[in-house]
Amino acid sequence: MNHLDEGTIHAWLDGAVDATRARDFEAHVATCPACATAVAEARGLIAGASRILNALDDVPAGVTPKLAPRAPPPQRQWRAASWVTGIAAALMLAVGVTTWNRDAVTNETHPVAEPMRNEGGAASAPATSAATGATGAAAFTAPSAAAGAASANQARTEADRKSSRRADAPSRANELPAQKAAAAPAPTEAEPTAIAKEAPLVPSAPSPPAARRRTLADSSARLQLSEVVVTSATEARAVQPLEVIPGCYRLMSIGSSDGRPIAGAAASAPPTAGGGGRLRRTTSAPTPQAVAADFSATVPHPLVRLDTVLRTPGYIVRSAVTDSLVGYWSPWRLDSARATILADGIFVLAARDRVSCPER
Amino acid sequence: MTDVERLFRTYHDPLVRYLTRRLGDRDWAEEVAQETFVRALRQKDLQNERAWLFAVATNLVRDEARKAIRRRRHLELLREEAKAEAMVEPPPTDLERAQERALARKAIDALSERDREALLMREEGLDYNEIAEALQLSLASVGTTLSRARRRLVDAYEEQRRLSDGRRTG
Repeated sequence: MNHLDEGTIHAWLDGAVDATRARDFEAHVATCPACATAVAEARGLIAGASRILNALDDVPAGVTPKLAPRAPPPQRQWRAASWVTGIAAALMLAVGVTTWNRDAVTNETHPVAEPMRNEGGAASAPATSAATGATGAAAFTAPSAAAGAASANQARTEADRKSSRRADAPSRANELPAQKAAAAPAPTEAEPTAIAKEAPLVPSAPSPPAARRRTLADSSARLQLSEVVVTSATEARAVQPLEVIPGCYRLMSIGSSDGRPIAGAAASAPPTAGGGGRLRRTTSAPTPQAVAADFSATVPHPLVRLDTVLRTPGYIVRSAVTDSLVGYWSPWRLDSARATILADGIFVLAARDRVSCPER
Repeated sequence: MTDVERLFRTYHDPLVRYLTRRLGDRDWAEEVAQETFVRALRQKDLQNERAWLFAVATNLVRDEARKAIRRRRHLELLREEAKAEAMVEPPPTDLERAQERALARKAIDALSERDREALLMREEGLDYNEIAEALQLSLASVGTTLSRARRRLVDAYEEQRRLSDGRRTG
């Protein structure tokens, strides 16, 4: 069998080849070191790319940073689940180890690899193979080791990276010191005992720059612990909008050409009394006539009720008259709601415009 | 559950996420998603719903993105918003995340349009058949496209990181 080309390898790893071919590939890779390396590298690329794409999320509306931290809608929080964080950390490690092997492994990185051994047998494999500059086979076992550093990704962006970045250090080594930083914080993450075992090793590390960096990162990670808690507290604030927002609102159609709230400016330009304005960018909206033609001039559900029942993709919006489900809403800027009315449009409703619900 | 509801509940979030990553702007993404669903409702019968939705959304984005006039207005909008609202110093944790996001943004913008779209669709779980259909590619070329896109993305990200580190440490 011929060597596998890159496209085929990715197709295989993405599960896009049939079972017979997949078996052939497996058999070939088992006996062919070159292909095994290529497959390991592909795995690293897939994982790395995925991590980078996930870093794109949480883009604030309107691009410019707004007020004090806005509580993100719970279901959109890509960081919420610890298993996601764990996988993200695993992916990061896979990239780190893979590209690590590409650069020359220096002495500085060896001490950093040591603490990983404490995490269990699976960890020793990448540590040893990385230390000896072995093939990218390390990337295979990396994910299980990184599971122990599940908090790494969360702590990584929160830990003081200034302390873990040095111009003279190999850039790959940045990944691992930050993982050591994970030793202290993130009590909610998986396998805290495995991580805690790392901590005692840090002070006894030898003196090369990597170790110093690690100690710094470790101590700053302890500082960061409070920041981690603050983040959680910020998330807890998402509950408050539920106290003020649910209720009945009038939906207004687009009428006057100047009455349209611009995305992002909606909070500062108060909706006209009586109801929420439809969210529409003046740049993208076609002429007012065309828009009115697309959506009826009178909104089909002029009076809606924002419920507290959470059902993906958001809290439920019902017609205040018929009680049927008409859309979903999510908190926006603590005192408003962004409601997507199915087939109708997106509305921003300010809590102060709430009206009393009709008798049923 | 009506058909509208089912379609919406199943595909709205992944579509918005795909569009947000593609555009870098959540509001714009939501608008395009909304428009996509409106068009879906006009279809009597949708085979391969996911591929269809992602294809329509992708084409909507391409059409709009080609309009230079929109870009100019977008910038005007940003200027208005910046004036209208006070910019508050974000807490450190958000800053780190924002920096990483900026790096990722630059990295993904370094890809060609097709590579970017294919990769983002794959990230939303579309299989090779769906990607081929949505982007009008041959099934055989999807693997090559993705492998190239992933490699370029990772390289571009590392490059951006190196540049950003160099700037910071001087």
